[in-house]
Amino acid sequence: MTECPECGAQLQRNDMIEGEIFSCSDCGVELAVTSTTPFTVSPAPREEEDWGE
Amino acid sequence: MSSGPSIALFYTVIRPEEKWILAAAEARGLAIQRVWDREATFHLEPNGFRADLVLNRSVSHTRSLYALRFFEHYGVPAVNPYGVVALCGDKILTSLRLQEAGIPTPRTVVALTPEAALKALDEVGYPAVLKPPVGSWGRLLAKVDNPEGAEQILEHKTALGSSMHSIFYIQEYISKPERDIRLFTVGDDLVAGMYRHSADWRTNAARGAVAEPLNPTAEMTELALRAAKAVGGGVLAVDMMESPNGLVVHEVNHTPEFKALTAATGVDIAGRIVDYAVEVARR
Repeated sequence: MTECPECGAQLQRNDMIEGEIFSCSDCGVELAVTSTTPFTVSPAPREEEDWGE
Repeated sequence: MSSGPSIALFYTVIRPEEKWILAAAEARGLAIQRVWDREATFHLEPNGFRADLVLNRSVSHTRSLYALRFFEHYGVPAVNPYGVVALCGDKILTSLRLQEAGIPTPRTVVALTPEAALKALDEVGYPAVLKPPVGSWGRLLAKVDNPEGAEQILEHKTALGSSMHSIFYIQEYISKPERDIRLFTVGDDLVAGMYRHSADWRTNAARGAVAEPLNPTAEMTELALRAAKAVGGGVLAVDMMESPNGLVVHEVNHTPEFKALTAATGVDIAGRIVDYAVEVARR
């Protein structure tokens, strides 16, 4: 378990992996998994100038 | 126990596409290691890195380029390889290659200074489209309707200060239906296609365009496969527009997203990508 950095909601790791992008089920902010052990998250990275497909 | 080549997934973020790729690899009994571009370090010697193939899913063009050059240096093949990414990630190089291959593409002029850009816009004619040579998702594209607007946009671009905005890629504005065409190629095959509908002249899925499956015509298929081959082949998304003079290819994407395309068509694109990666690893 960890906390949403935006609203403090309790977040479950489930089967998420490092780098995974997901939305907080409470406040909807987009988050990224920064570590699975321990489970930590941060706001999803802002897209950079050279990002794309 | 792995039953095939080992694959390294090089990535920035795990989106549905990357999850589907991981699941497809697992379903095929493949060993797949994840290499996160924000943590990876690259030595001149391989330094313990071992894989039969790198599947690049990094969303950063710059990170992809350097990493893929290192993987090439280590003797590990990649999908897509460095050369394809270098070419497709730069709109100027892509346009040159498409034109060299005789593939219809919008009229394009490149200028190296803001002053020359004004001249280039006059040469292309208004309205025109101004794009950064590197970048995606329809970001920082500008439709320029007249010289007054051009001067303002060029002033803003100059103020941005980065080298990316000091080279001006100018293209004729194509009057098209409110849609463009995306065709997804894997190796020698066209695996899926869709229209992207948008009232905005930018029809990127990232900008909210709505996907509709399409059955590619023979002409679309031939053009997409020729464009893919021209840039070196691999896993690619060829974007084309229906201009008054016929189809024109305006972009070939080297690390394409396929969430919308999978949802629209039901094609197992992730599975096709993994199968192709295995095929390349075994060559």
